[in-house]
Amino acid sequence: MAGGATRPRYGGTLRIQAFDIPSPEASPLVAETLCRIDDHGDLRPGLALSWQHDAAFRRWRFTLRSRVLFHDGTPLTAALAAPVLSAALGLNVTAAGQQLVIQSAEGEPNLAYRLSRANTAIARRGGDGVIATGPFRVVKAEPGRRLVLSAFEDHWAGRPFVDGVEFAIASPRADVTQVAVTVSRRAMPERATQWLSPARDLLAIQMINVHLQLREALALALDREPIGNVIAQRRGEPARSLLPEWLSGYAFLFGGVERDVLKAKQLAQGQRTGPLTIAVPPNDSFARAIADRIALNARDAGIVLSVSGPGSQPNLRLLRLRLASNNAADCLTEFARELNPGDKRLDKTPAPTAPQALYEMERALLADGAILPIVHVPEVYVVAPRVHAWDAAHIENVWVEP
Amino acid sequence: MILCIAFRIAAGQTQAESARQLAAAITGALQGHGTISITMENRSSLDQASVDSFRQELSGRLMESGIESAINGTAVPVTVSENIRGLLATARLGEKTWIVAWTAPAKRILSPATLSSEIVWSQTEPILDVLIGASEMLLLEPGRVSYYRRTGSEWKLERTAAIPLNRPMPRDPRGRLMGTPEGFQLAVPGTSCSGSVAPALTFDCSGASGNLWVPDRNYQRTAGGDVFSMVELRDGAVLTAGLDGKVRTIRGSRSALLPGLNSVGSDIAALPGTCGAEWVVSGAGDDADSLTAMSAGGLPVSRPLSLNGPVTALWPDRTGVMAVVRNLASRTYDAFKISITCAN
Repeated sequence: MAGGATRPRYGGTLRIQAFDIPSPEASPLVAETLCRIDDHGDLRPGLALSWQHDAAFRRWRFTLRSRVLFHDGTPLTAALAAPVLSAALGLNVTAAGQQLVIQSAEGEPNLAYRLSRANTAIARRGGDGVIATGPFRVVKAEPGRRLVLSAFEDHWAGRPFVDGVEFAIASPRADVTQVAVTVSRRAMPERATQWLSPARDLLAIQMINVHLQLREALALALDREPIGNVIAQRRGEPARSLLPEWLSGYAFLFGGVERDVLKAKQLAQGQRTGPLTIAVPPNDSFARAIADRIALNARDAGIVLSVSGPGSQPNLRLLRLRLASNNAADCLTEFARELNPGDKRLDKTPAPTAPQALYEMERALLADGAILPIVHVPEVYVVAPRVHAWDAAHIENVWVEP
Repeated sequence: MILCIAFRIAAGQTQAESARQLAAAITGALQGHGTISITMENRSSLDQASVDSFRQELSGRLMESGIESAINGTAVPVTVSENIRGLLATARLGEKTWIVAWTAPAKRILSPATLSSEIVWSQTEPILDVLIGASEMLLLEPGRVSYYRRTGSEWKLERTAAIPLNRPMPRDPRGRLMGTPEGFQLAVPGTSCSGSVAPALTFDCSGASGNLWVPDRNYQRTAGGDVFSMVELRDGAVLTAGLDGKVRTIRGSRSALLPGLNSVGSDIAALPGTCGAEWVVSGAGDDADSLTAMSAGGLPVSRPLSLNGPVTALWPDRTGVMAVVRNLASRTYDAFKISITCAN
């Protein structure tokens, strides 16, 4: 939405250099979902205008938005959407006019959230590649290297302001460049603006078969401040919670105890254990720098810790957990699913929404000390002066000066 | 089948209700008697007066329930914080923690200058234009028109109807609503309609003409070029706010830039001529827009009137202008009647 100061102008191409090139099917710019989560974390209509469910969440009925067109001009119908959703959800989906009926034997209380995820987007393969209903159509897709999109004139929410968007992993003429959180402001072009998202990633240690006392020793030895201030160039927020404060509002409750190397040493001495190893996500220099720092902190407490090589069985894993959306319940449920992949109860119970219930769930996830949050970090972009209303989550609303 | 309008924003409870809820939780834990010592911490953007008022409300409720406050009582730290949905208060008592939430109150607009604002309507959906009388109100929203009638001090929704749009609304939706003896006329990019509100809210979108909006776009096409908005001055000249961010005066076939107006907004609207002011212009502040009354020659006649968000629509009405502001605090679109009073 435009502000009164300067309304957006149409035209131009936006060139973006990014670490990962989105696949067309997974990009909300190309393919849309039935529901969506808005900037304030509220569940909103996407391709579905409304939905209903029975008391047991076994039968859901979604009414599709009318006058939605695919990029090839075909109208969106329930008959076209049903097989796509059936394959994505693994549930029985039937079409009835402009309505979709989704049925499950065990109940799906969180189905509307599931239907806001990219893997449930309505897209099909055509002669030219992916055909969907999003604000941009695919012009050229080179997986992992480049994605060229053009504005879809007939998008139901209005044509995007720019004529086209080009994503590339290397683009010398980029208007917007994604940079690592470790890059200092001084290394950026002088006239460009640094754009930071709210904290999006959590770096955390997952302990596997590590004795409780040793977990406590590691927690006491860890010094998070230099990680947020030095390695992350003051962009990181030392974390003791899974969700960042901007999302939950109660992260401060996980204050925990201060660093206490002496106590950590005492606890570690009581444990007869061999050297510990920590696995790091591949090709993640930030995570690697954090792992090295953790190893230093551990050594202060007399714990021998090294970064594990490929093929070895680590005692600890450094995880990079990404917030799935702006909805605290949705993010926490996803974190729980990633941390406990076998726990099917998460799909069968409604995600908590009240802050009190969210807090209790988060506290339970952290209770045994097997997960040790370290730092929350944002996404960082360098944005050229010609780019207006930049928001990595809403590229469809960005406009550029000629 | 249970109707689940999951996408509606849940009506948040008030600060007072949250304080009452927290007091009930603390009272329950203390089984209705005891002495506590509350310490308040504010981690939110709420001002100190509001935090103090929350504390007073909480203490009052606790006292009513038989819980005394004293310095040497059991410590109960209470923290006011916030997340993207609103405000939270957390109270801790021993091992127990309670969290309550409420939505942020809308900030009041202070009118420091000769321009003054009066809120006439507020809603979560965007407002493109408002026609308001003593007992009737017509709202133009993206894709529909809503008709309200006043009963006492309340506006009651009488009818609402979807506009048969020829094209999707642009991403930056624009539109204009004009009263006529028979009802109203509306123009949005790609669609023009005449309509009436009685006996039903109906549209005829077949033959209406005079729509300057360019289909699928947020601007109008005039003989002088594409513009975001324009104003007819009393001497017959036309002021335009162009897509290049500049304001021009057009007299006949001649067009001239208004000097000294390099950083004004895209929205201008005519004012009824008082105090030498002929039009009003939006301008950007640090985190919100402002409105300034201007003379025909482009000189400011009033101090800027600060608003609590960006201006999304600005149209003349009978006594001043109607401005729609996206309120960043309350996440609503607020329609204001802006009027000008002359200094002695």
